[in-house]
Amino acid sequence: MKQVKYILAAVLCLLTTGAFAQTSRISGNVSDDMGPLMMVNVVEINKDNRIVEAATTDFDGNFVMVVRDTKDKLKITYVGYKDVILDIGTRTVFNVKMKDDNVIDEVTIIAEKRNETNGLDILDREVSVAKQKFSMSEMEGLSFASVDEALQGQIAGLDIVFNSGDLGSGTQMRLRGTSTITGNAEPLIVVNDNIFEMPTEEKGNFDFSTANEESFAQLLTVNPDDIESIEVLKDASACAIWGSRGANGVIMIKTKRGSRGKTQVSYSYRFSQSWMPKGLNLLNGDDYTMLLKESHFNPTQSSTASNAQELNYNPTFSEYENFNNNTDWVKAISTNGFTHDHNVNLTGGGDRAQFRISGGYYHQTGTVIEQRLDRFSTRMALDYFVSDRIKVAADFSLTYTNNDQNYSGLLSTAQVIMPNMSIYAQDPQGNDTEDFYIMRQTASSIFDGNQKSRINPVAVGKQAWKNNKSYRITPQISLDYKLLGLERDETQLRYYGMVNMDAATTSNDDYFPNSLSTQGWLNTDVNKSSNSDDKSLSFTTRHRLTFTPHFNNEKHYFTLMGQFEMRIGSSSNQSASSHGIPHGIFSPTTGSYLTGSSTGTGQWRSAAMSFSAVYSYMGGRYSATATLRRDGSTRFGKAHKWGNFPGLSLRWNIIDEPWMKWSEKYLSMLSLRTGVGITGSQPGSEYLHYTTYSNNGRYIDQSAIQQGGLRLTDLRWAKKTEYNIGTDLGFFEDRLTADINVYRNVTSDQLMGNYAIPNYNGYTSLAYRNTGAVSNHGWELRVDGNRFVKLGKDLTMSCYVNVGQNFNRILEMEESVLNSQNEDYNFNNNTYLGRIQVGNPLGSFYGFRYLGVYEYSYKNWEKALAKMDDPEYTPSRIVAHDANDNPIYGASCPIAYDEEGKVIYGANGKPLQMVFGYEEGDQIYRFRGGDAVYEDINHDGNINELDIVYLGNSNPDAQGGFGVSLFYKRLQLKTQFTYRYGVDVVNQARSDVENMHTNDNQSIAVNWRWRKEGDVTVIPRALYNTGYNFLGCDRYVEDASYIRFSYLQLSYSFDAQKLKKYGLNSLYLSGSANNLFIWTNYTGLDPEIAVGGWGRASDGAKTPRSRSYTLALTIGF
Amino acid sequence: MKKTIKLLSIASVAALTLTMGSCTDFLTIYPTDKVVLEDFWKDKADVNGMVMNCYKNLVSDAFVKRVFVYGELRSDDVIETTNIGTDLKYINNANLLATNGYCDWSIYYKIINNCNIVLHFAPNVLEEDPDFTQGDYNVVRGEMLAMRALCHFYLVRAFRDVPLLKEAKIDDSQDLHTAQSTPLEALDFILEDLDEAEHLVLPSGAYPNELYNKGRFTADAVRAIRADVLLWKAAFTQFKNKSDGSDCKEFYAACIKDCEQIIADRKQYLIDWNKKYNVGKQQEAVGTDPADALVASYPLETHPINRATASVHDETYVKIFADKNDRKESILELQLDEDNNHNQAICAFYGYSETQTNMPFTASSYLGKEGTDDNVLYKKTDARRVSFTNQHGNEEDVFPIAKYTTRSTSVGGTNQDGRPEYFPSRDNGSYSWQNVILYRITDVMLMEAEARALRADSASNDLNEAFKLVKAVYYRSNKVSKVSRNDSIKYSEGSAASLQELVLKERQRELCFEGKRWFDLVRMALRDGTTNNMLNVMVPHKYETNQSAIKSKMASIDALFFPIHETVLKTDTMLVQNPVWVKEDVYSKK
Repeated sequence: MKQVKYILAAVLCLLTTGAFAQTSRISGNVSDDMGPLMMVNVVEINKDNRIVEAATTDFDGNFVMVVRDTKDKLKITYVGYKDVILDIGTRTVFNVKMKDDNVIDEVTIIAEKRNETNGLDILDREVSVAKQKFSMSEMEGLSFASVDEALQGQIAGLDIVFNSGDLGSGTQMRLRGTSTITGNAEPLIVVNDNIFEMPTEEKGNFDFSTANEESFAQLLTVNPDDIESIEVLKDASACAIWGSRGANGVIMIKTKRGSRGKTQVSYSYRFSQSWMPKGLNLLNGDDYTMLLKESHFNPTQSSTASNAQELNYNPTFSEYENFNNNTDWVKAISTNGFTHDHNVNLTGGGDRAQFRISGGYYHQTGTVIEQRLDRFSTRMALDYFVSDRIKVAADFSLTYTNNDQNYSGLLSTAQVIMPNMSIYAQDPQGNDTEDFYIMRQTASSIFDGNQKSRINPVAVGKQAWKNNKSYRITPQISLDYKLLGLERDETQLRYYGMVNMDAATTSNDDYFPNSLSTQGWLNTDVNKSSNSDDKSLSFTTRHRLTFTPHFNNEKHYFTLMGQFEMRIGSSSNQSASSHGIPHGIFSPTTGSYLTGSSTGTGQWRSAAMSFSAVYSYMGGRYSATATLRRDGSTRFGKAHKWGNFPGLSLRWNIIDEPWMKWSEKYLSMLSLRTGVGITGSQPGSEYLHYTTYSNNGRYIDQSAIQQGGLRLTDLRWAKKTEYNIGTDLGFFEDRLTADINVYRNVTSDQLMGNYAIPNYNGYTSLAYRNTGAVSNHGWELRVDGNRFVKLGKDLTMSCYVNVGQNFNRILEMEESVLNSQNEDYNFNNNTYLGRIQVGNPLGSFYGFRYLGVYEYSYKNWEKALAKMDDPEYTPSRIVAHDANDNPIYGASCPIAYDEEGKVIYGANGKPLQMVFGYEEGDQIYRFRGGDAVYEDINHDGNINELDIVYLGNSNPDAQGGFGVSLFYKRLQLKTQFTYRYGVDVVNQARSDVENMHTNDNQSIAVNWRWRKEGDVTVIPRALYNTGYNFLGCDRYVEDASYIRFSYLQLSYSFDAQKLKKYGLNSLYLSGSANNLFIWTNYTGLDPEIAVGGWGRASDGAKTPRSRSYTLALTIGF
Repeated sequence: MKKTIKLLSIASVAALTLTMGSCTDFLTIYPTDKVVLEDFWKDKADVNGMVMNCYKNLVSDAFVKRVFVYGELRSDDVIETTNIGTDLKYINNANLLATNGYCDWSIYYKIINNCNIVLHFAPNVLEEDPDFTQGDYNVVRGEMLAMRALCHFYLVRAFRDVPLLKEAKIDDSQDLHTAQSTPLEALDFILEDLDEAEHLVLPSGAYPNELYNKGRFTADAVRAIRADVLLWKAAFTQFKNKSDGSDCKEFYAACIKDCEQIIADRKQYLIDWNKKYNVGKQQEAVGTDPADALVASYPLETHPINRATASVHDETYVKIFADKNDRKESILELQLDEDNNHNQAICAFYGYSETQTNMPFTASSYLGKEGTDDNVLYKKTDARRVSFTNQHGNEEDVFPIAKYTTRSTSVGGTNQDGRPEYFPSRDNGSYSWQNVILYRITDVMLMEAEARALRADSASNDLNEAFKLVKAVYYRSNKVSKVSRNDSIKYSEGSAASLQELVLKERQRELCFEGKRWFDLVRMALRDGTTNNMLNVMVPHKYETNQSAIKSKMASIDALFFPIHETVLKTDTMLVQNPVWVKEDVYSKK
């Protein structure tokens, strides 16, 4: 309740005592040329334009009222007529004739682009920090579920990657690289100045490394149609005002508000159809059974191992019909997705009040069966001008989303499930029945390993489900009070105060029926249901005083802001799951086997004070902005509760210098900006600085109490210091603008989660510790051409390009942290050694170098070497590199080469055979024909951890977007491209379908597998559960650079004049093709892969981004 | 105008100062489901709960498993089966890698730190809660010191050079690095703890709840640990000084004193107990046999099924191990149970179903087979062979371990071999609720015998005293005619070495599978200054093949101790790995 105290104090400050005034009784009549006017508003307004008394005229146009103060004015207003304002004075009778409003006098509008920076409203040309603004009107007619999709490729330095093509799966965003090792690296999202976080993140204990897709999809609760503009704060001097929250950059979203004018209704509808791009070519049933027979035969050279009746096509087998098919599982789970997006909004207002009310309904179905997303959203914004001094604004928004998801990833199963199996159980004649076919537990034992656990993805899609529902309500009320002068040429003092409430509930339910399991009834997967609910409520209040003194010398401009802000919130959650529920019941709490249940509560509080000041001289020729935020957090102990985050930036508009006069013709802007700032971050959990005690079972008959982990008295804010230098350029009256930023930031005192300590201290780790430093440096360029090319009379062209380049580096790290994070090589297939090294970037892969497949077995080494000596033979295969990294060509055979590229011969006169080393010596694997060739980097004839080299890195070298638009009269053609360059990704999906190590279905590439001595191929032999043919190596590390043709849009907006006769104000039509084409060398489905732990990206057969087309219509009444 | 600004600035400064002060309170929130330090350590119950938590960790799976892994697995008591897992297999074959899960010593330090925390905070409660008296505090302090000593003692025996954790670790501002101590430094610290604890803890029998008398540290338990520590101190001293043991006499004297005290206490404890529960005279009549009289002169459980007809079998060990907390035998016994603290180690290591399958190791045939020659441990007359080992179905050479797993014995029933029926415990699936005995009376008696045999010189009566102790233990389980008894146990009169050998053997016969044997062997090797003798005793019984390879792996004394787990080495680069297990860093990448 403490915050109430502050609010009260603030309100008390506002109370001013009025002087005694003289009242008077007046009367009058209102008419026009035609006669008396009924229901005309007659109001008394004081000097601040505040209405103090009001009356309306009667049937005869008469009115009577008591005025409070004869110094006030009388204002008479009527729709369609010009306002009349009269002094009252001693006058008591007012007969007024009103004039039609049709005649408009000439109006001169002087518009200056203004910009909200660091809580201050300043001129665009005085903005000294690095930021970029994006107007949502640019996206009209395009269909987006959430706004981050629209932002992709639009902001220089903001790297946006889709998590997957599944509905509502969100995006991963990185602004100017990753500057934290284990913490949250996502930029802060701010909607109308309020931090927009899901409660799960706020209450702490949120593990970003294991966060699921839903947690990144928070933006789904803001309807893109309600968004006016988005501003991305990039450098620390801009973000410092967000203090500890702004360390990863800030994305500020501003929603639309009402505007003065006639009430307008507009309705828009967008329709899209989407489909999944063609993926990997997989084996059909016939090829698959052939492959499996071979892979089971090869390791033991025995046909009994491969003798599974599911592969034998033997009609006497009782399930024969279910295993003689060529099923295209991927096709079976794919479908066309449709999107219907309806939005209605109502906007308008007069002098006193302006409003906007909107409602939206978004319905989308996925490109994978049984995915459906519904969103209903409504937002209301009301601005009420009590007087020229006081404005009250009320905002309200409600969003409901209902996301029907697949129980589990269908595509990943569809890619690997046996293609000779049927979708539906088949009768003895081979006709599909109505039941889905699920592999029996009695099937051949060779399928124990994996196929038995793979469940028919079509059946999972249809019969099991997972649902995510959320409600979010955010009412807000704010008051704006101008305490001193009202005009620019007066000293101004402005108070702004607001209270915002954010109430959210989410629930997740899922159900897995017994029809999908062939396990017994007691299995925990049978008729399984789970439910979890989260609810949270938080309040934010913010009070701000802005002081702008007026100087007689108008060359000086100065404004100062102080702000105090508090947040308080709590949440609770509960979950239950059980199995063995009776059919038809989905509630986990009905009588059944309870597998787990939990409840939890969370709470959070924060306080912050911030100050900022802007000074400019000579009309903005020189300007400076300084900010300071003092952030208070509950997550630190007493000594470090408060963190100070300052920022300072300067701008010099060179163009304004008198000696630049010559350039006026071409140059409209030339400036130099520089800034420095510090932002911070806090740990992800609460209560770290306490020693806690909780129950821990019993010993004999007494209960035991355990002490929690080591308390963190020494934990401090992680601090990010950033320097930015930039320039703004404008040519030809800003028709062509550009800005360039160069930056460098260092995040020191990193908050390393789960910091390992020597376990002889009684604990294995500290929850957090400040250690290590990471730096990012890079540059961004944005060029915007606004109709800067004119082709003929009506044809103009706009374009934009942006590019961002970031270099990440670990500057320092304790040796013990490096040691405990760098795992030892485990000699298993499919693992990439993850290492972090000081001086290298995060997100690097290490593994073997792949050189192809051994053509010959060791026993045929003479043949292989003879082939090399044969003058007829053209050596084409690299078998090794010498010490100078020159390639050695030859026919490959598992023999060792020395550093000079010569074969190493043993004492027995035979070459040394290549082995795969295992240190204890009891499991040596000797390579043979058909096995993968890994380069023996140290030339010791043994492939082991010493042959591991650096393979690549998941940080993009450059990324950005560009687009070209053509305008012809009212017709517009827009294109947009996004690109990322120099990204390395582990194509895990390809490794999964090319390894021939399991019973999983494989891609058609394996048809080129090595089968007999002398085969020249790059695909190794099929080897079930044996061998080392898919060790982590560069074979699967691919360059995932791409250019995506994001959309091509054609739109037409009709002439308002012509529409009038149909009763319409506006009509807009557009059609677009989205995700049209992608230029890439990446062999996976989609090169856009989000990074995982330690910044490494691995593509695990996620649903690719769909292709789609959109038709849109907007009508205004 | 100016005035307004002035006023406003004063107001805002005032408002700011006001908010700054109360903000720190505003920013203080407490967990809803836990108690914080500031509200804890307020009453007796808090202290008691924390003490119980130390015990709770003592009965954790990690601790109990290590009792057997460190004390038993590498010895000739057990041999591996095909079901042995990788980690256990490597240990069994002396391939100790720093990655082996059992090289993780964290459970000991967890307990030690918990003890230290109680030692650190409990004095405050004296002021807070009048119910928590100085007497209460003393007992708590004694128990914590004793438990800390026991854990350090395990560490020294398993790893040798270990850091000693003397202070409670509570927050991150403390120095989290501790250097290793030499074994003698460590043992001295342990002895300090034990010396203090001896006078603080309750004497045996003082607890009203009989389970506490066994399951918590009593004075006798502290002395038993101390006697053990002293034997190790002597061994390490002899090793360090490369001496003949003459420099260790004081340690042996102290050890003998402790053992004698325990035996005397135990007798008194039984008298008191009988008085208290009005049992009157002991129900079993002592026979006229002088051997029976010798056995009866010690507080030893004797429970033959039928003294007249029994060939080799009696129920003594079922009483001790299955019935739990035998009041004569047990001195320190970890209390496990069916509800809260299961004993998973017994099931995982010694097997659990009636047929006892899938266990990773079994008794070596040296223990399982009966006979008269030197290739077997037990003579035909010895009841312990059938009490401690089973025969696995029809497989003649497979001997699952019966100690701890035997739940009951069927009186009078015999199997096809004419042997009495034993039923291994069949507990609830993968866990059992057997207690784990850390010290019992025969262990103490044989420690005394060991000390006497090692101290013995021509002048003293030590050899006779020691032999008497060994005989008492032996006769308890060999209830046949006098003649065979005399045959079955003897040593070359006057030869200390011969008696030492006899003690070692008797310790194995009596205490096998209890986590003692490997430590007995290591102690012997330390005294010898070489592993030769020890390996000659042990290796032939344990390994059928590769004996020379095993011997060469364990040629160095260092190899008898475990490597430090790599996670610790990674977090503390100053730590010195046991030299035989040092692995060269193979990574050198750009």
